[in-house]
Amino acid sequence: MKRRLYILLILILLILMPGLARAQKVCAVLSSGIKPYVEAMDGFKKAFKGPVEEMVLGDNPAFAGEVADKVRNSPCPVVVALGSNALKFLKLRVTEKPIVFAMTLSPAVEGLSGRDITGVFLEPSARAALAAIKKVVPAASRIGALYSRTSRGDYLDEARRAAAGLGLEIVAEQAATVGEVVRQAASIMTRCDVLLMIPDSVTSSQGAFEAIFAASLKGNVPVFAISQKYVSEGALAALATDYKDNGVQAAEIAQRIVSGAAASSIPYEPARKAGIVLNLKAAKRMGITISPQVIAEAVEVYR
Amino acid sequence: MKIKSLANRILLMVTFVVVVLTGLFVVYFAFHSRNSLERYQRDSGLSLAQSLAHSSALGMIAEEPSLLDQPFAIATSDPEILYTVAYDSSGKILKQFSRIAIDLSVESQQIEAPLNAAGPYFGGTIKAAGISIDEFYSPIQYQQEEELSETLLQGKGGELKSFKTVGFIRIGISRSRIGAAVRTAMLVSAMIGVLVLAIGVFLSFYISRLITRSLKELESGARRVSQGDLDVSLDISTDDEVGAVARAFNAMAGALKETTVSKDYVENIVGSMNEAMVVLDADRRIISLNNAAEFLLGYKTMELSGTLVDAVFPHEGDHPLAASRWSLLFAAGSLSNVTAELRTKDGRLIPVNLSAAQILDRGGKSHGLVCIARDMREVNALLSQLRAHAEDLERYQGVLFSMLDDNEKARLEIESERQKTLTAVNSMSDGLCMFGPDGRVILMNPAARGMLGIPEDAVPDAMDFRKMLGDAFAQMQSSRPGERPKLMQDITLGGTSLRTIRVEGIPLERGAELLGFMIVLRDITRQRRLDEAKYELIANVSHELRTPLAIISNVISNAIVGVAGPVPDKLMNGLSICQANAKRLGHIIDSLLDIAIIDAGRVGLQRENTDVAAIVQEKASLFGDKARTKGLAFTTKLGEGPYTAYCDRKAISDVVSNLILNAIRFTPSGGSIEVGIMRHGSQLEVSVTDTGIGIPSEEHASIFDHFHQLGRTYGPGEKGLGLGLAISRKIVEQHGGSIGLRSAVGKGSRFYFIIPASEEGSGNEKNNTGEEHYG
Amino acid sequence: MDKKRVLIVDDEADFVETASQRLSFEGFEIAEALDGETALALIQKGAIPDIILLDIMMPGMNGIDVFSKLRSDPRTADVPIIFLTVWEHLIPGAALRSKTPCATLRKPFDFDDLIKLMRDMLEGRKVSEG
Repeated sequence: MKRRLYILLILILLILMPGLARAQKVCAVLSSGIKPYVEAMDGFKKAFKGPVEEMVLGDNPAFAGEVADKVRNSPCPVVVALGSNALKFLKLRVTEKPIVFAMTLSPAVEGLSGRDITGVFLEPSARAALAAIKKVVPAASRIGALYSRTSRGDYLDEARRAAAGLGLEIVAEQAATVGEVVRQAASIMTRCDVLLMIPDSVTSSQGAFEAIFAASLKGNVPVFAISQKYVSEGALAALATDYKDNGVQAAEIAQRIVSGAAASSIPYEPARKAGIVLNLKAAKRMGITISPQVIAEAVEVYR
Repeated sequence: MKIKSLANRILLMVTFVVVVLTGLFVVYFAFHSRNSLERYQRDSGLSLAQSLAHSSALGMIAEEPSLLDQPFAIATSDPEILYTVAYDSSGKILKQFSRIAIDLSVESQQIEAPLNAAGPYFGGTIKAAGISIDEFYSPIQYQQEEELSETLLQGKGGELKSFKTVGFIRIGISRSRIGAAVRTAMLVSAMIGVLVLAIGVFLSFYISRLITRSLKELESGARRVSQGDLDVSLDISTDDEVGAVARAFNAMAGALKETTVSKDYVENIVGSMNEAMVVLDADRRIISLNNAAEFLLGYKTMELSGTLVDAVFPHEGDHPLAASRWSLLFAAGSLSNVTAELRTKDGRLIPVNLSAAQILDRGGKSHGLVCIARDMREVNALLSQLRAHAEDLERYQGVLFSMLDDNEKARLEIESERQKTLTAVNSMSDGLCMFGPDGRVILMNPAARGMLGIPEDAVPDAMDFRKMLGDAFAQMQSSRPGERPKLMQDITLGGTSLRTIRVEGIPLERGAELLGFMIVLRDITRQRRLDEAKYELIANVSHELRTPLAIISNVISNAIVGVAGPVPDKLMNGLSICQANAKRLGHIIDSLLDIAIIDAGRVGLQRENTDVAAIVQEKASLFGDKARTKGLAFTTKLGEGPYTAYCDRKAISDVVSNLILNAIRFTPSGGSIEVGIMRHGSQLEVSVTDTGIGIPSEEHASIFDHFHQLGRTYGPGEKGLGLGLAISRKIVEQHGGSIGLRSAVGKGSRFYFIIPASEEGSGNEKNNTGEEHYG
Repeated sequence: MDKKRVLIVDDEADFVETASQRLSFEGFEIAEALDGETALALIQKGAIPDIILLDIMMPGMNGIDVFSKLRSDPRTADVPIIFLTVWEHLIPGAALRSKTPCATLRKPFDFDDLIKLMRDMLEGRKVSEG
């Protein structure tokens, strides 16, 4: 009789422990209150088994100080950073807890290896991007790309590997500044069928896009942009990340960490769910006919 | 300065107000224009600087002036933009454009402000190359690289949260346009102001004059009314208050006029009325008399004014106008048709009919009495006359009634006589018709209707008669008074059986006036038939008798001639006697036949308009030879025509033949016969005059009778029955004529007959249409 | 001179007898007929008479019909005919006015008149109608 009781207790403890572990709260810091972060937050909350304490960073530096204190004093085993501002903020102010980031482009996490930081990129994989290009512009073979030191080297490598499998050729040029982008844009247009914008602080910045866009008009070469923002501004197409799924991905990583895994052991993940965004006007301008099926599948179409 | 005229005061006030308002307006307008221009300048300057900064960002970052070409070109398209400069973060000019000669380099202390500015700002006004220039600065900003994802996630129009200023833009805009524009604005507003002022002054002038004009009119109108001219009517018809005043004024003048008119009207009535009117005050004193009262009483108003009414109405006791009854009168309010007496100036008392009424004011208080007195003298006289007349009338009325009674009796008698006559007429077996002179049927009794086949309810028409009686009717209608023939003819009417009707017509005359015609119809069918039968019998008998007579004559003749041998003398004598008597028997038989003919009226007439002269000529030529053969002179004599008569041609011919033959027979050789025809008015006379043996006067009457021997013989070749004078007479009489002779023994004879001639052109031979020639 | 033939047509036998007696006394040759048919038969059989005395009122064929028949026969068309009758008004005027010689004499008549008339007609003298 007593033995059974003890076994039961142990069993209960064993059962509860994960639960206890599971029941643990996490803190989440949002860069701002804009919709994408809210969506990601929702996704996270749905996927994560446990309470989440949300905090929004905003603009006020004074408030930023409060947030830092709150996080440090909280018993949460993990801190979630949604957005690059949040990441930048947390990596400076919170050093003793593991951080899980999401909704951040890869350039923002350069130089973070060795830290207890892991997460999900905002951008989808290079392979996904290339596959999308193939769908939108099946005739394309040469894919141009401008890169600077701010982009991850892995991205282009991955792109090259994926390109080979898709029958595409990557033509990459380096541009250190936006000014160089302006100068390079015209020449690269002559050597590719589609220009792919890669996650890069310089070559995918607003100014760079404007230069690239102007060159693309001149050279009649479509631009596959890094975000739907540029598609709305005239790029032919882009892959738009599903923000909610981004949150879910983050929740899964957070869950593992809460369950005992070390953050530094978990590799960064690209966004796994993204949809194609199209600008039909840009297509028409370029003389590109996009297959109706692709148009039908697109998550957003600008006419 | 006191300004008297309302108009001028208004004018001045309004002008002052207008001036002030215009001035304010001008000033405001000028300021407003200037401010908005300035603002416009400022805003356009700022926005231009900002947009230029924005579009210069790329070029600045790339340090590539060529990239600034297009933005600069666009920015400086407006000639008012005097210069644009792009400096880098150290103040070095990357690109500049300038329309004027100006040194655009900046000192290091000058670059702090624009580089640290958050956005475009106005940099003040400088003067260069003689022009005032507004300067605008704007930092050229660029987004920082690190926060790309934030920017991307922000989406379209994401704010530049963190940015870097990489340089600044400087723009200079000329102020000349503003100045010019401001001046224009001020000029325009001044002009408008003047215009408004002018209009205002004019309007105020107009309005003031309008008002004062209306007032003047009102004033003059009122003055005229006060002077007694009530025919005033103001000619202001506006819908405003002035118009209302004018209308009220007109109404007032109209009402005054009416009152005056009424007053005149009343005065006229009072003055011209026949009745005497005396007006008394509340104390029974006379106030006024009208003309009639003055005339009646012999007083003038002045003489009686103030005197008590008793002077004129001397009544006492119970009379309503007695002094004692005065208060009662006032209480009652009015008198009506009271008999009273007036005392005239010369003391006469005149009977009057009096009515009186109180003069009441609005409140019901009595101010006096109006008495109307009607002179009753004439009326009274008339009344007594009327009474006398009325008595006479009553008497006459009695007489009249008895006369009416007699009339009624007479009428009834006449009526009963008429009824008797009518009954007699209606029950006659002969038909009776009466016509008016125009041929209209007045009377037709049932017998006539029956004979003529006109139904009882049909209105008989003269036309029917004309149809039946033919021209004879027309003859009767149309002949002249005194000469109108009696119509007598026999007509045959059809129907279920043939009937013979004897029609006798008589014109009804009164002196020379033709009143109408009366026609009697007698159905003589039966009589005719009897006559016919009688005639048939006699004719047959006489013919039958002739045959044996002929045989007997033959035998006797044969015997005498000696067919059977010689005849002894004694026998011869007897045979001669037999022969003579046989001849006589023959004559008797002939006469018998003639009688039968005459009695039977066998000589029926078929009349038509005939030229009698032609008949005479014909017979004359026919028998002329015979006469001459006998050794007689034979002449014809024709007088003045025309010789048309409505007669039976054959019958008249036979008459003429008869007379001529008789003349030939009874005139010995060597003598002469003259046949003549003459017209006397409406009658024709045919005569045969001979120088024969003559006829003794005692035989003149009977010569035309039956059986009168004229020694007719039948000669060879003579065919026909041989007419006697009796038959001739019958024929002539049937034509409405007469036959006669003038003769003496040894002196020859003149036989003549007269028949009515027909009017020229009358009868139905000449016209085919029935109507016109009758009457 | 030849004896002239006279045909007497009359239904009255006494009249015929007395007339025949006189006429033969006067020197005429006589033929007699008591009715029309007999008269026509006689003419058919024998010689044409020189003159005919014709009564009107006869039983059977009356004088007018006989007259017509005689006139329509060319042999007797121009033979002189004298109507002897009491009914002279029955003689139609047409007959009398015809060009053929005919006359009328009313019974009772004077034989002298008859003889004279007969002789006139036989000699062709036109007789006045008078």
